[in-house]
Amino acid sequence: MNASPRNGLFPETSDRDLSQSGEDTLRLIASLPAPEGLPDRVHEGLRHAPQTARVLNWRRPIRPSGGWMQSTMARSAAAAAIVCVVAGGGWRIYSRVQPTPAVRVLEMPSRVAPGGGGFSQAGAKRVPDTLNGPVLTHPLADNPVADNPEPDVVVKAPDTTRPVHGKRTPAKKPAARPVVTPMP
Amino acid sequence: MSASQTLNPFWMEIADRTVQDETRRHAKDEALAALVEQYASTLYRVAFSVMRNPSDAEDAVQEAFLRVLRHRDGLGEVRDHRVWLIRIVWNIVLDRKRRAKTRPETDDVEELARVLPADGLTAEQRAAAAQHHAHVLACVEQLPAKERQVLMLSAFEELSSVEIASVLGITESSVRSRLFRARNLMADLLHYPRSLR
Repeated sequence: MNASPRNGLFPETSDRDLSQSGEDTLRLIASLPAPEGLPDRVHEGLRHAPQTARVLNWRRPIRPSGGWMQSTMARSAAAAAIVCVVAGGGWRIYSRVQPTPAVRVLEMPSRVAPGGGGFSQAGAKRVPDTLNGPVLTHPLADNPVADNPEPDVVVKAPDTTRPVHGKRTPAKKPAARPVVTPMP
Repeated sequence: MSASQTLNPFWMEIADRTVQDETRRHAKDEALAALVEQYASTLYRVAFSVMRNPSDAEDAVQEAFLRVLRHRDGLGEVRDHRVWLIRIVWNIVLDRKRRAKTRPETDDVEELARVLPADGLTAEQRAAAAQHHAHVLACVEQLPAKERQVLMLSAFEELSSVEIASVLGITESSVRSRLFRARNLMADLLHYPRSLR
């Protein structure tokens, strides 16, 4: 299997097969010559392309990419200077700031003064809650209803609000009005 | 020993390193210029096969070398510069093609008919050839992306199946199987036009 018989991928491929699969067109496109002066234009474009970005335009002797930072001695000196500055600043701040005093425990005054004032308990004593439930002295019967043969009878009072045939419910008397005596 | 004598080796080291850096940069520039001279034409043809537009292809080549310029420090680690550059420009043109998908394909075909060689052909033959090429390219556009890419790269005689696999980031056996499928699909499309998608 080959793309073209010339690069050795499909040695059995004939020109007719290439034409049938349309590869002749693709090969024609792939063999088109590049325009004249293309490398020159690319060179020109590369010449005017922005170089690698630099944040600061360092002078050549102290430019980081110029070589001095690649020296071990210079890098060590710079690192030591940075450490000294940071440590000195930290010590200066630490020495100036006073440590905060320890937190004291304030004793709150009692709410009820011993000599009077406030509310007293009026001699009441607090009784603790009963933890244990009531204890039965004798066991309960299995059927308490059977032990009590007399059922509870509820006698309803006669309803006086409903009308009874042949009787008329007494009309409500209006409330007595107070006698108003005119004041002289 | 005076202070100036003590500092002298330090400044000498700075000067030496500056000179070495300039020399190294000059060497990299020369290597990049050699790459441009050697592979600009190949990259243009690869780009044109996808873009089918001379100016777009040239822009893609320019962008590819700009990327190389930005990463020229790693030039020494590249094993095969040709395949590496083709892979760069291939990714660029695919990305651009994806962005410009709204552009009508007829523009590409007309542009192609204009640039394709038609030496020794009559006007009728030239028109027929242009129609044939346009039909073939329309069928290529109907292929699935994987098969289409392999088919287009295989048209370059200087690219072996191993190099195509390296450009596409797949195995050589995948290249062969995709190419086989692409050829069969193209034969079907050219003789029995239908939609593959």
